[in-house]
Amino acid sequence: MVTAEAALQFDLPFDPQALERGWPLIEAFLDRHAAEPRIGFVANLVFEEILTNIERHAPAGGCSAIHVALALAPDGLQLEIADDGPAFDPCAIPQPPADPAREGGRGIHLMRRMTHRMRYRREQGWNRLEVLITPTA
Amino acid sequence: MEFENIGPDVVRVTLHGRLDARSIDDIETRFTAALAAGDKHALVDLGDVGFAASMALRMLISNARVLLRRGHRLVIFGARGSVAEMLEHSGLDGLIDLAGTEAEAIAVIAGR
Repeated sequence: MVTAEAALQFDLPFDPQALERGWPLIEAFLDRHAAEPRIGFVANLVFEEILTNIERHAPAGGCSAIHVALALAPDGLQLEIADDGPAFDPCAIPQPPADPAREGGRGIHLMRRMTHRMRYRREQGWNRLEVLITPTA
Repeated sequence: MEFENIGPDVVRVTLHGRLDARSIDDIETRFTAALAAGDKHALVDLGDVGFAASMALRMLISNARVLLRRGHRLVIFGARGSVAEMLEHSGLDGLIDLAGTEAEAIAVIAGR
């Protein structure tokens, strides 16, 4: 159980290995501070969906770096992921259609449903997505 | 990943560990080929899965659609904790059934 506030920030060059390099840093931080399992799951989901989205949709070389900031407190984890890719606001993406047979487009929907709060801003050429993840649904 | 025929028209697929984008890349071809070749209902056991992202859903939905066209169902069972929560938020109604246990998953198939 988290009893005090803790923070971590790191930068990574953006390349196909960014996910594999970045997630262990987040996971180790959450383990060190005994974060609830749900916080780890949702943080992993958000980190993977954002980086996978950049990898699939940003033009080659369109994103060169990401910055990650975490602040863990008893009421939850605040996670900010910033990237210098083309402007993309996941909060502006409409909910997926009711058609369950649609295969894609669920990542952002899941991020919305599983985080307590999701905010986006574009700042000096960077996408900045901030989410709050609570220990319980 | 293991496949086991548990009846004349039902195969159980057991997945393990993390179902992230990289692991889905590794297993998707084998998963899809096995379900297509079997031409059976599929029960997918997620009891040993600790993480799943949207790429896992895409793989499951894609295969469920193929099975549906052949008159078969894909039923997920055994999901726990945040994996179960994620599935509940995924809007799979009518395409993929969710069951708590293998017996419940078999009952879903039998009730069709």
